[in-house]
Amino acid sequence: MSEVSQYKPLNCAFNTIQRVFIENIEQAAKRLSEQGLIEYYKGAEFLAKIGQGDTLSIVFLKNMPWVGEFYGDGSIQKIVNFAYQKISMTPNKDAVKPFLNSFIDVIEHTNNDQLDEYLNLIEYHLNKTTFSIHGIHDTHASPSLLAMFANMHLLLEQLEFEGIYKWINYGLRYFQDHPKRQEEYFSLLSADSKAVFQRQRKGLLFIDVERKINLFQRALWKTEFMYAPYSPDFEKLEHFRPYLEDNIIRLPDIYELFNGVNACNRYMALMAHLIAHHQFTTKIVADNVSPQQRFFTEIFEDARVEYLAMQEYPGLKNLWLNLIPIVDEFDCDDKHQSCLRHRAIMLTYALFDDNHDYKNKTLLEYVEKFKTLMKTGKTSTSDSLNLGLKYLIKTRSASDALANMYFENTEVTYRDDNRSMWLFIEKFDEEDNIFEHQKKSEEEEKDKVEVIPPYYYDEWDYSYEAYKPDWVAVYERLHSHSDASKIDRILDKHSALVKQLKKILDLLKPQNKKRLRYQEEGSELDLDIALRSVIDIKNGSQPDTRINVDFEHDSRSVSVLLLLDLSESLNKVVGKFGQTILELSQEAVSLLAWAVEQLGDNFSISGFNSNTRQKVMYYHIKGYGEHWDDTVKARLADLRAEFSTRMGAAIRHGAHYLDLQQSDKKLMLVLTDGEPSDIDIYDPKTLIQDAHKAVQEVQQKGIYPYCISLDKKADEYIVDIFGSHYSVIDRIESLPQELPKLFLSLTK
Amino acid sequence: MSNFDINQFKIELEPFYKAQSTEVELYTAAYNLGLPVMIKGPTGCGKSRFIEYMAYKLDKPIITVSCNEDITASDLIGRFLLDTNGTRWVDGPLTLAARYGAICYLDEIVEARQDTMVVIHSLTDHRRELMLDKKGELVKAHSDFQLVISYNPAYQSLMKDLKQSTKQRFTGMDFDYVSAELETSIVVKESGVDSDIATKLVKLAQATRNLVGHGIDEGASTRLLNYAGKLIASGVAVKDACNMALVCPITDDVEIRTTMKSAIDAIFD
Repeated sequence: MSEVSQYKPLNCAFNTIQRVFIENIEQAAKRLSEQGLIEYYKGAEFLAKIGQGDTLSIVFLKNMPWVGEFYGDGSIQKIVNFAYQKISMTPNKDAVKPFLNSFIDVIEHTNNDQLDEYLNLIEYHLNKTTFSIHGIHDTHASPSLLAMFANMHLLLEQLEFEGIYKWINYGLRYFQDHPKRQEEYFSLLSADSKAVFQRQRKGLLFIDVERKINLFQRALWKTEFMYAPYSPDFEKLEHFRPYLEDNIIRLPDIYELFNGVNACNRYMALMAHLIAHHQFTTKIVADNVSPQQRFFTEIFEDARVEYLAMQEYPGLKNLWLNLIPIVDEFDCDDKHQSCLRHRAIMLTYALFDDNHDYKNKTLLEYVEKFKTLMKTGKTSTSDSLNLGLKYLIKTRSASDALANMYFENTEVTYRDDNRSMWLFIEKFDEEDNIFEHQKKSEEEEKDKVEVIPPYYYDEWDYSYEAYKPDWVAVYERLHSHSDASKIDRILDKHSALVKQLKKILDLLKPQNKKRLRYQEEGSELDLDIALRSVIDIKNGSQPDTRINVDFEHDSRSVSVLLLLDLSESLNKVVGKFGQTILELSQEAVSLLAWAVEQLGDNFSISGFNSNTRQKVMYYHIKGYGEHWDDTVKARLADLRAEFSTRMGAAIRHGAHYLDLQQSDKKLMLVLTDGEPSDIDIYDPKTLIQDAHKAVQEVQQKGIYPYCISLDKKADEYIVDIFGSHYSVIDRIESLPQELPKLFLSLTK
Repeated sequence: MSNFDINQFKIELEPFYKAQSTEVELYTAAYNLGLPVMIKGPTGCGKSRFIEYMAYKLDKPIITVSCNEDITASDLIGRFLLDTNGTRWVDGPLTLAARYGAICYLDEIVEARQDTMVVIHSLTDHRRELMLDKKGELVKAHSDFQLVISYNPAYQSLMKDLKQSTKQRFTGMDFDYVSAELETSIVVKESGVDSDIATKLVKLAQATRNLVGHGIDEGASTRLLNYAGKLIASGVAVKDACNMALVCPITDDVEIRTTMKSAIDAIFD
């Protein structure tokens, strides 16, 4: 107790607090300035008196020495004031403790001038999520504040403040009125939350450089490994290393700038290293080798394969060099620390690059041994084992077993976990088989019906002018089929119209003529060239005899997608013959399909309907490769109308396939009977604006969208979606006549 | 006409050519038997150089026609021209070669139109004669005459392929990029760079050839390697030379260009 007496006692009645105070005061005195120490005392005393027992002061006493040191004078006072005024005096007082605790992560991931920024962030979130009912202020605690504090380290580690605000705003926008979902969102549990989070991350996503990396491995090594990126943040794989197995490369889905090396080069470094192993490493038995022995063997093996790779491509050295950390030789104190990793990283660097200042004799001796060995030109993985074992024996120290391990700056981020070099004869869980749970047992596979996984599309939110990422799930199915003869009967019924269409088609078929100049024989004389030839003759030089022009039919190069709205409203009966809109659509589509088949255009028919954003169905009725035959007719005969119309997602999905077609002109016809709507959307403008956005996206891809609406009131909204690309058919009964004509006039 | 000097088409200086395998012997045998030869291979792998070299070796004149789609039959055979006294017949390159005995080399034959190619048929079978129908003359081929065609199979499309009836009149020789060592020695000889740089250039060329079908239609040719080598030998920085001669000409794809830059960085440290 004599130690304590040199410090001013804490004025507080809680014994528990006094005990923690005694434990921490020495640290505080060491780290804090005089002013800081005063704030420290005041804060601890104050927090014990605000009616929340002893916990706050205990947390405070434990954390603040570091926080005060980091942010400087005045910061502790600021935090105490904030905790009291902004959190404790609102219904959120449970959040004070996590708030104080969060500073451990906050000081790790922020700069020392960012305290205000952090406090503002918390205040922003608090104000937005603490809600009141019937004008009674601040009656309910924020449902999500605690959840957010729990994830604070992840947020600060992965995102900039701007990104965090975006992530918060997104959550507020959609879940402000829904406490339970809000909590889910801010706990980073829901898929939406993760998707938004991922897009805000700092760094470069692998998919953005995938093609470059692919070309890189192909160009230099002729390899074609596939990739399976993992997300280090969510799957809790921060220390998980990339690896190559079964011709698949597992690698992080995002890289940041590291030590001046950009993300793309980091991926290339990783790739080069993995392929070097693939080329030069042979498996050796691991069972009799201890983990430490393996550790050093791997270092020699990594150096060996990289040495060999650099024989072929010397420039790889520059790629790797900046990614290998350099540590100070005497940085690790082997009396109190385990220097295993410190020795390893020094060795790694020394083996890789001659420009090092390490003086350790054993180290230099082994680097020399390694070099002599490599110069012989004949090496194998077992040589690495040999060197690794001996090096460990030479350098082993009692402190290697200490729990306090020197870790800082000892990881070479681009290197894999070297599973490719070890062969485990006895089974035990050495490898990180974290993807094991994803492999389903065979029986499970059997039980599962074959389904195509959904496609996810973003949806446009007009009120916030932003995309909601991966918002809509589109399921693709082949449409069911019934009796094909039904369609033939329809065509028979409209035989008069068919005849009429035939006439138009015959007119259409000979498309634009293309002129072929410079023909020796042709249908007409090309005066320009003929004149030129006469002049040549007069000059005595050799005339061009190809003075005719000929004509050739230019072929149509059109791809067409007909997108049918199959929502419930199509079941409405219209006209005097008591037909439903669906039946009329069926007739119209049959005629159109027949007509297009005559023209030989690349044509496909799809239908869609939706039942909330989780389930947009996209039915294939006729594919581009299929002909207008009985299978297609059978599918068309079985058309059914149900659910709602989420048009934007269907347009995006249709465009995805239309975009893959190789033709000069691409036309997307959307046949619909009403405005876009869905049961999970209350603001009718939302889906209209989203469809409009989808139409814009489609146009950017060089596709010409065109809408045929059967809704008499369509004028109110259709312009907002399709601009001028639409027709409204007022007399729905005339659809079978109108649709093919419309198509023909569009493609003339 | 009779005093036409076919020897002006002879090659005077020996072209540099390194045999890959037995192609010199095979070609000589075909020439001695008067068999037409078809040479296939990618751009810039040494097809034309080989024919020149053989013409030099055999000491025969060679008439080269670079085919394009505007070439007509009369461009090969010859045509009547107007002159002050009426009309005058002028032999085309094919007729010249057949009449006076030369190697007629039709480069990139697939570029010519189908109807043009048919005129060579009678010269390439047992008849070895050429009918000049407009002139009413039958030219019997000189014993030194030989027809050689070349084309690049990579260009083949549905529209541009030789007819079977044409193909089956030729003996064939496949050319490909030469082996790395040989290509290195060629680059050293042709451009004057040292063998270390030449090896690396060849490595880079192989990197581009690995990307064929992934955004590149054809990899860098030996010709381009020589260009790069010459640039380097003249003092241009290595990476700039590679970029100028080996990356820029073969692709416009930005991503492939960046990949090639990385490849250059990996190969030349």
